[in-house]
Amino acid sequence: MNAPERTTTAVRDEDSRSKPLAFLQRYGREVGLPVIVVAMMVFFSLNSAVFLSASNFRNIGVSAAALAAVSFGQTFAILTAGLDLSVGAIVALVSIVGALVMRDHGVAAGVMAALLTGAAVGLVNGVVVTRLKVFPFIATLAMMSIVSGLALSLSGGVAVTGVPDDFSSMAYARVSGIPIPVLIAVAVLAICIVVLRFTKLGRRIYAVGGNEEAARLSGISIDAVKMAAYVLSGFCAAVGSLILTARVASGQPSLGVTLPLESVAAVVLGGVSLFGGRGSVVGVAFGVLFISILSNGLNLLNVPSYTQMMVIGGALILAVSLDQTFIGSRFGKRS
Amino acid sequence: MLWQSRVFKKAGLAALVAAAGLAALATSASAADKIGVTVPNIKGPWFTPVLFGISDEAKKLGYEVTIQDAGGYANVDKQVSQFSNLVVQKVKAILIDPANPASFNGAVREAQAEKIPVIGAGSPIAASVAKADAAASSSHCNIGHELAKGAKVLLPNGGSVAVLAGPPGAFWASDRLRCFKEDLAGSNIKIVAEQTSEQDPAIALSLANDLLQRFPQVDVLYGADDTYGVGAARGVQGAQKCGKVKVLFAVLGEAAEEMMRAGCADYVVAQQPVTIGRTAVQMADAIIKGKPLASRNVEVPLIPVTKANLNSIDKSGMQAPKGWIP
Amino acid sequence: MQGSGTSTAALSGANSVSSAFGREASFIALKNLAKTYPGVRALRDVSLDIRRGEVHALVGENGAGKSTLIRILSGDARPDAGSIEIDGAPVVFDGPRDARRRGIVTIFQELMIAPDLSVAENIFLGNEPGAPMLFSRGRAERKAAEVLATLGITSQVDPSERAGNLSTAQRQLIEIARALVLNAPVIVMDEPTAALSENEAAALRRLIVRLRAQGTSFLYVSHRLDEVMELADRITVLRGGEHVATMPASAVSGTSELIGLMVGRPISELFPPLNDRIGEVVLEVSGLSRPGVFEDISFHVRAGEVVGFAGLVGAGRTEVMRAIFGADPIQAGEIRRNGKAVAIRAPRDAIAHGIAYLPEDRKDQGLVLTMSGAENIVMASLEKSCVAGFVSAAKVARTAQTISAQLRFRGQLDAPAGFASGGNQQKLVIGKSILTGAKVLIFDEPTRGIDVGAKAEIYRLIHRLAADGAAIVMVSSELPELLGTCHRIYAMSGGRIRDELSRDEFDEKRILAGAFAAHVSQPADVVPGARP
Repeated sequence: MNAPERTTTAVRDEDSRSKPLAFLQRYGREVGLPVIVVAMMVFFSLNSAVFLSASNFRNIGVSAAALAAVSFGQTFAILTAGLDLSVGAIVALVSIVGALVMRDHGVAAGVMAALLTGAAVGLVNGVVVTRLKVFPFIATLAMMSIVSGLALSLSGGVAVTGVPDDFSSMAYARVSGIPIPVLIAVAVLAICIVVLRFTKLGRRIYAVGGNEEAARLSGISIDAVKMAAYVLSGFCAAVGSLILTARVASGQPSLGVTLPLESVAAVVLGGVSLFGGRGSVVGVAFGVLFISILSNGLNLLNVPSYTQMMVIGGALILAVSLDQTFIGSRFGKRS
Repeated sequence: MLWQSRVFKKAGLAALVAAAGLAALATSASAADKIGVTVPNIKGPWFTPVLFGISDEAKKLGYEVTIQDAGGYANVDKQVSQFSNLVVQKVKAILIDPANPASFNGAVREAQAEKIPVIGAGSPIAASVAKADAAASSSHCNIGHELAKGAKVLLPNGGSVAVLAGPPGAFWASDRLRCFKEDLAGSNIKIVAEQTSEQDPAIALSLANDLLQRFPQVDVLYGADDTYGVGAARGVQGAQKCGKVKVLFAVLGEAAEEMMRAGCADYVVAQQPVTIGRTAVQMADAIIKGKPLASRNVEVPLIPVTKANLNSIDKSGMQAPKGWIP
Repeated sequence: MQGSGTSTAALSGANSVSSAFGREASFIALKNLAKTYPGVRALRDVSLDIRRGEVHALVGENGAGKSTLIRILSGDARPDAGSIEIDGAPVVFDGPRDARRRGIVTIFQELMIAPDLSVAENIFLGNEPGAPMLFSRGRAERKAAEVLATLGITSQVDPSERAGNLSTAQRQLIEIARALVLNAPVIVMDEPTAALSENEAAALRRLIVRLRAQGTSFLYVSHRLDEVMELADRITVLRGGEHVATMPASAVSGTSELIGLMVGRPISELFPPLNDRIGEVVLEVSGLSRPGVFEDISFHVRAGEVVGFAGLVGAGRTEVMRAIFGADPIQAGEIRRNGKAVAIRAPRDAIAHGIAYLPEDRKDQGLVLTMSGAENIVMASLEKSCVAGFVSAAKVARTAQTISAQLRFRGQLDAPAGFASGGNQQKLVIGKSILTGAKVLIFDEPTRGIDVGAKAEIYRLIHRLAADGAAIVMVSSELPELLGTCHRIYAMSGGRIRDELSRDEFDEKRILAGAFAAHVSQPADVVPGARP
């Protein structure tokens, strides 16, 4: 027996009445963070004469660019309900390998070597997680140590100089006023959006994170999807490393030490769930902006760097707990 | 709705607290000209007196000083970032001790494009290619030569040296060591071990202990600077070998002095970091005001110190007043 | 039926060829399957065949081997012995993907939905339309809309909406949609109507009949014997991992014959006689409301009474009970315990007032599957298992043992709860509630997914609890269950209580009318937001 038409209308009314509510619940997190970022910018511009200058924004952009690239890569890993703690070490290794190859064989070869190295480490991460069945937290933590050691031994513990000027000047060059590192980060963002929204791999990454068993029983190869996620994470970390290496014009074996923590923070701030399957890479971009603008603003206000650490940690807690309230308001269940 | 007011109350409260906190921390806009300083570390027997020299001289000349601390030689990218920040803040001059000169070419060029003079403070160069406008330092190579002289004084009949080489990749430390080794080439003084480590007293102590363990017969411990030297001295003291194993290093800070009085530090090539700091500020002042500079590169003299002349030398150029913190 | 998407190998020609192979020929044949898990012989020499265009039902108690058989057929497990033949040719499945490719799609009882993907994406999971590597969202949503129309739920479910927002019943239909778009010639269904209302179950049955006419075969596993009798062409009974009988449905005299085959002995009575020692009102609820979900709920329960709540899926019964238990907030209304008004803001308050709630979804909400059965039993009243402030393992074991003996728990108390059968898991949850000293027990779908033998035990347990003076509230979608165990029944619809019937007034039609009230009454009467 089918329900008569009247019921359908009643159901639709309910939908439209709660639409603003539903909208906020669904996008609250995605709307909340940009609003906070704007509020922060207003605050800093009121307190520092130079905050709103073009040169400061360029600075923010360049220092955010590397974190952005790494965070976008981290997003892939976290979406599969995993984690990539080795991103910092990958940045260091890629910096050394890239610098070494660039010094001896030119910029193009160096860049290729760098990207391949990042992807290769990502592949190893993927294998350890899927074939050896080690939890991503432990697997990438261990890889962090291995890859770091590799970077240090390849470089002898010292910086690799001799990076061609063509490459390092990229960090300061601009195209219509926008620093090249920023353009690179935006390009990475665009590619990640396309992969996650428009390719089968992207949707399967969400599926594996959202309900791994369902994905498996639907014939999706969980191993292949997870490996792809870690390879992408390694690749993006390599891009971030190239940006940082250009900035310091040398291969540095200890580059990127703070990146694992910062990238996870940016991803979580951006609304991606650590349990996997949920979140958007655009949100992560705002997470990166939040962290970069906050530390830039604090620098301009001459807040000592140790106090900055406290402020950033506190801001992270605040942002996530506000977010919990949005999500937590979705109570009850249908029956 | 109930949840709305809860959320907005929370958000409002948070924003209020954050605003209050940040307002408290923000410095008010001031009229004085600003000089920016960027260094790899701010604590320690080297950087503290340099920063004291800078701050004191700047105060005398009427400048405000903002000091950026990169938090370690490894944080090159942070130092580059802080440098760029100073450029954005449009300071009148930037004093720099680069953790790695190769990394600062672009940044220095940017500063100079904005007409901000860049002066080396404690380092003869600001970047590997881009030239600094001025620099006050002691030549690291000269320090190396003096250290070699000291080694020969301590070991007239030859012997073995274990080296605490300084931070990995720090050019000042490697320059010293290079010139040290040059002078000792062909002599009967041999280097049996050489190891770098981060510039931290605890790590230096641990390294010294390690070296003493591996080479119980070593004659001299070499420290790239005061931090390493004091660490070496404490190690020797702990092993109760003061006087038997001699300790040789550069920079005479407070702790170094103590160790020397205790008989555990034997030969120190003292630099004058306070003087270096003052000189750097003076040069910056001259450039800002458009006055001509006698010399673009000032080398502040070195003073070899042993227990014998410890009490007679003038230390005002070497150490900050007790208890001064940057 | 239209739908396209990856066609599942040459076998999908079945859609139009039911006659070409003749009704008698086997399509899928399982021969002498055996499978052993550590400590358990799950299947022992089981043979079974499925013809084209037939609904072949599989029944048996929990532990009879049905899940193992399903897992083998779905490609998730390999048999230790025996073979599978498709049209006479032996095949070995390489994994779930392979089984799918060969035309066997399985819909499991645990809902395999990725909550943050859209409905359309879930329907096409692993089978996404679009150019190689790319995903065409538009195409997926269009085709999903077609399938949803076939299932009759387009008005309730939007292909682009987040799947996690759907109710349990709707998610199940999405899974069915998933199988439909694959055009699978064989669909294996494990308890498909367990979470569906009568209305939805009927719609599903009609759909299965339609698909069967087009040549699709079904392996239909269900505890609902009357449904099985109505729908199946042939019925196979398993018991203890062995094949007991396969016969045409027409040859079965009634559900009791099936039950007899399933348990190996005749079952005389499913429902014990009602408790007659009724005491005072121990729970009174008045004017309970939460806008958009339920409104003006008032009822009472006496000690020793079993009060049932009938209604369609979505009527709001679970929400009311969760609200009384403090798991969800209340906007207005009063709860009285033994005549005194109480404020319940969280489950701990409810427990402190002697109220226990046994959730609908016992695996997800009632148990920690990774902890042992004993630990689950003592979880809500840990203070009783402590010695000097520390949890005493010995006390836990003893307490659990006592309770489990009372409840006739059959299983290992020290094994993880996830290993216990449905009926035993329910006993663990009941044990946990009893141990808190609850005197008001709210059961939400107490025998969902539990086989007939265990059901009878649960009813006996409920009867005993009532006889001992507890007040029982039972939310159930199985009318026979309510009619068999309750003293009074409330009918809820659209967030309101529509009717109250005492035992002598019990009438199926009247109860159903109450359950459907929101569908047929004036729009103004419907609580805004409540789903019919």
